Amino acid sequence: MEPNTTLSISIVSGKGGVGKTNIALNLGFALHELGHSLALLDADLGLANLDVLLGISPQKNLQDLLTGSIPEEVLVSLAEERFALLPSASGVAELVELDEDVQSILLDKLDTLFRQYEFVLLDLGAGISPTVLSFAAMPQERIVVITPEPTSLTDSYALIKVLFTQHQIKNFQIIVNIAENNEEAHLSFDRLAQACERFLGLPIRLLGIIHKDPMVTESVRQQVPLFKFAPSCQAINDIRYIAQKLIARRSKLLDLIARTPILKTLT
Amino acid sequence: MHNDSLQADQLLVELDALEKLLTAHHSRTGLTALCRLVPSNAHWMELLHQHKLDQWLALPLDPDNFPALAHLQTRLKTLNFQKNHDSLTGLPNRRAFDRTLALEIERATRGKAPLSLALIDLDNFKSINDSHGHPCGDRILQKMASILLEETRKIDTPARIGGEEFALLLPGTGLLRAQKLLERLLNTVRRAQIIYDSMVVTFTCSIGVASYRGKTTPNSVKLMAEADKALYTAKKTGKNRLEAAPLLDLGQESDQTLVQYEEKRFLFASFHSSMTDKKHKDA
Repeated sequence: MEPNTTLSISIVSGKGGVGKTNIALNLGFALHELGHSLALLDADLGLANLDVLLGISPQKNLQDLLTGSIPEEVLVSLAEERFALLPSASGVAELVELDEDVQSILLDKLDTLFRQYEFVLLDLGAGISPTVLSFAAMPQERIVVITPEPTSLTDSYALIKVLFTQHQIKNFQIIVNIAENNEEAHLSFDRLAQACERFLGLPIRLLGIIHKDPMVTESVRQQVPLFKFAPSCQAINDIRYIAQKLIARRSKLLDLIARTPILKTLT
Repeated sequence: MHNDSLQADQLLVELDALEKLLTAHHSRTGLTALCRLVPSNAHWMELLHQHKLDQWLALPLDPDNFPALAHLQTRLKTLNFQKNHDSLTGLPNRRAFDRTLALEIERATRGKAPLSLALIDLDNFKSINDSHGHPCGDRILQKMASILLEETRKIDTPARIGGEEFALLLPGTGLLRAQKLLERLLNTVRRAQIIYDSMVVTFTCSIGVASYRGKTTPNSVKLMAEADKALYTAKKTGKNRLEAAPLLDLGQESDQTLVQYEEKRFLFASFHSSMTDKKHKDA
């Protein structure tokens, strides 16, 4: 088998409503614009946010993959073949909580599917449910989305702590979303980083800051992805910068990625 | 005794005959084959052949030809059963129960599965014996045993572990499901009756149950002790009832992963101060 070249990232948050799904989708468009292929897995427990944001209604989902559908039938192409969405709809929770045999069959299928792409983004539900924790632990990297609010900080810290103590996961990158300014974003990140360092002995990294942008709300209302709706607004420029950092990170980590499965089986 | 020594004589004669028979099979190489006695049945020969067990020299054990050997075989079977079972009720005895308990604890540990143990004690058994006589008490013990067998699932192990004390091991079963099953058992016992000396005799029992959730490795001594403590409480609080011990591994997982007060205060507090600083500055 060819060595793996796909970098897989789950996008998580302790608290809902911090803009995870928007970041996942627009980060996808940004990566695609910069010439990279990617698959986006909607693992948000049937809240079906991604299809609403896109204004689409997919016929098949992740579960059909298990019951014999071929990947081509399940994938929704968002930009030719290089940017694909794998919808999940409901049932994801059951899939992850399945016994290890079925989980391994599913992961095998996803592995074959995801190998064709340079990036795989998993958009997860908020919180620390067993399903979220499993999906958060499977990929190679994790992006934790926070906002400059105390409750967002504590909930994100709780998520990091559970993943670290239960699944021994150490690599977390933080995006501060809906930031009024850089100073506020840095204050929030520093606080979280200090708590992780002090109580868990765990260093975390700041991946990027996305500034508060009225265009985000407007694009959601119009059911047009922000990237298409306002391609040069502040938030999209911030996301572009984050995409560039991810591309650089993938190049830097290629050796490591080659030796790591796209989605790790949990034990 | 006399009967036994007679059979010993006969056994010697039969063994002699058997040896001759075996030697006839292996006249040149001497007697090296393993020998297995099977009931006299052509089907057995076929089975041994099918499973490539021809190296076993299977000798048809015809009870008419070898009555003492047949007796020995039955006796071994009986002894083996008696070693592990209570002769009055036919339930597994304490020795067999302890072995099953050890096995199920191993299984629960490996599979991170829940496990429940119930100790069941007949109420006022001494006064039943005193007023109706011991044979009546024996009948009640037998009735209790048959209820235990009927009301439990195939995977459960009921046992008689003492005079009027029974145990019931419920593998893969947490506290809630164990309680349901045991309440049903209590009800059946309340309705049960035996006719002794043309008198209707009823009886009740008290139950103590202890459970593991599969979050830690069960400890047989602790499980027994907790179930016993619960049984004692059931007796003290009126008998004819079920008492459950607190879950033995409750709150096992929380400490390590929950956000502690100190951590929360750290995240909140300076956030607060930095915000006030900022407001101060803005002003």
